[in-house]
Parts: sequence; C-alpha cells; structure tokens
Amino acid sequence: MTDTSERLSNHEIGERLRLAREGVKLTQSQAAEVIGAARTTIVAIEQGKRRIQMDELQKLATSYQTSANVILRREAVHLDMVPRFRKLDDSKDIDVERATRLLNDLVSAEVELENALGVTRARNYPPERPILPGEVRSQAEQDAQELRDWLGLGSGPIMDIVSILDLQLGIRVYVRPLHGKVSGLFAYDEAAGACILLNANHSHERLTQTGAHELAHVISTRHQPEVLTEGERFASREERYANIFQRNFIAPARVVRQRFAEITAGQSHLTRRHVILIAHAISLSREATVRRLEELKLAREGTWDWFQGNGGITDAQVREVLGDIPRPNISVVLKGMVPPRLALLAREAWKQELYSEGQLARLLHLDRHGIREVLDGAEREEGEADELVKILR
Amino acid sequence: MSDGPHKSLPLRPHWRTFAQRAAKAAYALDEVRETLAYAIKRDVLQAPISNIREIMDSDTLFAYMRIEKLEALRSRHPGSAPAQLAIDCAVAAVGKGLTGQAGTHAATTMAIEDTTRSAMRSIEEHYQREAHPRSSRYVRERQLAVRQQFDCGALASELLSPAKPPPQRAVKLAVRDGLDQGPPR
Repeated sequence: MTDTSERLSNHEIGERLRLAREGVKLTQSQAAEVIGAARTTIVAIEQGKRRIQMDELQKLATSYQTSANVILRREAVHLDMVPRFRKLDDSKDIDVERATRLLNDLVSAEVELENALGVTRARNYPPERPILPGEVRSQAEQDAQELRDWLGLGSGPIMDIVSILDLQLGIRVYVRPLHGKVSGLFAYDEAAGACILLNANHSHERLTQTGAHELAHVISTRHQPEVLTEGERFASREERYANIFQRNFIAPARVVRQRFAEITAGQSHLTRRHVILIAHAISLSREATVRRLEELKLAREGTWDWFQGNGGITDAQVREVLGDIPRPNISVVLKGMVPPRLALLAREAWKQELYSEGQLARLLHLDRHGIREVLDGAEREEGEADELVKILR
Repeated sequence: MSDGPHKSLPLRPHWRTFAQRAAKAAYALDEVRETLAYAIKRDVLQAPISNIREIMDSDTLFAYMRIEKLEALRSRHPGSAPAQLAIDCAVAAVGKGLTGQAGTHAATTMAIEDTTRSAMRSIEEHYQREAHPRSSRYVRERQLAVRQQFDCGALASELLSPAKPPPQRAVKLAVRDGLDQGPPR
C-alpha cells in the first residue's frame, strides 16, 4: 500500500473496478453495456490486460456509485468484504446490503488513514477457539469466562464494549445508525483484521449485547462473515455458541447468582423492584436480566412474559427505584460515532494536512458537523501543546 | 425467540392468554384460574342471558311453549356459538323440568361447563401438535389442576347476581403492575 510509483498499474485499476462492480451487484455484461463494449472488454480491463480509457472510467465509476478519483487514488484502500457478505443468505436485504457497504467503506478509510500516517494497528486478539464437537454451551461459557479473565474484567459489568473491542483487543469497531432490524455485522479480512459495525440507534444495553455477540465470532468463527438481524431463529451451532458466549461474557452466571441472592434475600416473589436493581447492578437491560435469570433457573420459565402481560417494567418505575441517575453511554455514541483510535488518526491526518476536512468527512461517511466534532479536539490540543509532555517514540 | 404455541392457537385471544398462562411456570395456579374465569366470562357473556332469564321466569304453563320461545330466540343470534350453546343448555334445563331462577342458573352452569371443556380440549390438542411433549404434558396437568378447583356453579351465580349481566367488554383481567409485585420465585 506504500508503493511509491505515481501511476497505478492496469492490474490494480482492474482489481479496483472489479471490487466496485461487485459492490453494486452489476454483472460484467451490464457493465459492458454502460460503456457500449463487449463483455470481454470488461474481462480484459478487470484482468489488467487492457488499460481503461478515461471516458470509460468515468461512465463505469458513475454506474458503480463511486468516482474516478476514488478508483485512481494511489492511497485509496479497496477491500472486498461486501461480496463475502453477499454469500450469506440473509444479506439479500437492501438494508443489510447498505450496512455491509458502510462497514467496507469505514474499514477502507481507517486502513487508508493508517497507511497515510505510517502506523499499523496492533492486534491483540485472543487465541482462536474453534467450536469443538460436543456440547456448545459449556464451551461458550468457558471461553467467555476465559476471555473475561484474560481482559482482566473481574466480576464487574461491561460498561463500554466499544472501548474493549477497539482499544483492548484491537478490533476495528464502528457504531453508526443502521436500519432497526440490523443489530450488527462482523467480518474478518486477512489484511484489515476483525471488523465490527454496530447499530447506533440501539440502546446502550442492546449495543453491548450485539458487541459481545460479534466478539464471540472473533473468538470462534473468525473467518465467517456474519450479519445479526432482529427476529432470527438461531439454529446453527455457531449462532448458539455466540448467544451463550454473549450472555456469559456480559453477565457471568456466578455474578448474576450472587447479585440475585443479595437482592432477593428472603423474598418469595421476584418483583419489579428486584429486577430493576439486579439489572442496574449487572448493567443489563431489564428483559435480558429476566431472561438470564430464567436461563439460570433463578426465575421460573415465562417470568418476562408475566411482567409483559402485567404492564411491563416501565422507565418511570426505574426512575422511582434508582432516581434520575445518568444513563451509561458508550464512548463512541457520546463522542460522535467515530471510535477513539480512529478519531485520533483522523485528527492527526488533518493536523499534518494530509487530508482536508471535506476529504475526511467523505472517507468516514460523516457530515460536516460530525467531522468538526471529531476534529475539534485536535484544535484544542494544538492550543495547549506547549503545556503537554511530548510522547517519546 | 419463539413466542410459544399459544400464538397460533385457533381460539379467541382470551383463550390464548389462558393457554399462555397454563403453559408458563411463572404464573401461579391462582393466576391461571383467574384467567380461566375471565376467558369464560368473555365467551358466555356473548349469550343472551337476560332473554333466557326472561323466558325462564315467564308465566308459561307448558314446557313446550318455553322451548318454542327459546327456539325463537335462537334465530335472533345467528352465527353466535356462545348464544346457540346457552340456548341449547336452556332447552336441556327446561327438558329436565327446571324453570325460573333455578333453570337459568342450571342453563348458565351447563354453558360454562361446556365452554370450559371445549376450550381446554382444543388447547390440549393444539399443544400436543405444536409443542414439545414435556410442555404439552405440563399444560394438560395445569389445566386439569385448575379445572378441578374451578366452580362453574359459583361463576354462574356471579354472572346472574346482578339484575343485568355486565357487558362482555367490561370484563377485564386484573393487571399487577405495582413495583413490588411479581411472579413467585
């Protein structure tokens, strides 16, 4: 990626065009129609056997929903994660398609910024634990506990899954508004590493659950892309593993049992007040808490349905029990949808004048307001630079 | 996550609620019994109980005349299964020589018993088709336990105690939405 030659080779251009074409699901014949040529011409161009003409490039770039500049820029990084997602049965949907494309673009942008600044992302992935024959449950429980120990999380709640994924494990993680039914996406690329996209529209608790679910895929089925959507019936062993891992990683059985025993000591009924307090103690949603209690046989089967059938557990009741405590928020959502490390890269690239504000906004799929929020910190830092101790390298 | 076989139960919503409660351990037997009473009331109150009472209380010397009046009432409620069932039961009560308040009470009690039996059988069959054998056995046992403790005559008396039975829509299931309320542990 740090090739010094000014001009891209025909082969490189061809490869980028192929990825862009596959990204918009056009066939070679359809692409050939766009430039009024035979299909074999597109084949030759994509294989680097024929150099593309500028007018052909512009027409193709338009129909591929990109620009000639993006195709020809030497530093632009082109990944092919979208076609991999297309192999998944549930990724035919337009909203899933849009999300996979966004993930692809964000990963490309981060890798491009890294290349421009000459830095690499340290991968601190836990060892891969393929799903073994036999019972999935015990393996998932054990792996989740091992990872908690490895990360030094102790028995505390997971307050910020994005920081754990991004800063502690070195996984590329992005939080963006997606369609409501898409909870998260996971992809693994040899060059870019593990990449996760989470839905910013979801609540803090749900986002944490999705993050942990995708983390399970990093642990067990690293090389299989995955889309987590609402209302799925999880049948495969991989999905069952991920679900059990997720619950055990966020709310380990021992911790839940302990909190449950402390909070409901001597009581004959599991009341709303108990649920609110336990959910707060383990930082889980009310529904997830009750379902976890059911799973651990601490509550009877159908307890959540009991609450639902009797008016649910409302926010007003939570306020009544806990008062107006500020809701925990994931750092990324709080700070403008760019994870901490990527925000630092963007600021550095902007400070070094490698990229303009507009370029960064396009790269990171942000509007002007969003990119200003990311870069604002850089300006402040510059003002105070003299007072800071320099980092020794 | 699946909602459970109660969602596809081919009965009215109040019977689905009853089936759901019977199938889930979080609902105590008292709560299941409460739902049974609610579901029966929602069904039986669709029947023309006031009209049946009037016919039963009327000054008619011959039983066949009362039956004729009941049969005439049938044509005023076409397509209503609860109404037809209540009229059938009233005809049967008249056939046994019952009239007046005792006749109305017997007819309503019979209608409640029939409704309960029929709904419970449908639920049991549906769970045997749709649910895990363990779950269908559980539903069957809970239904049986509730049925054994359920007094159809008492419910009939409750429905007949006011001068005019309450409208079907007025029958509501109690909601336990207090902060210190919840299912048994």
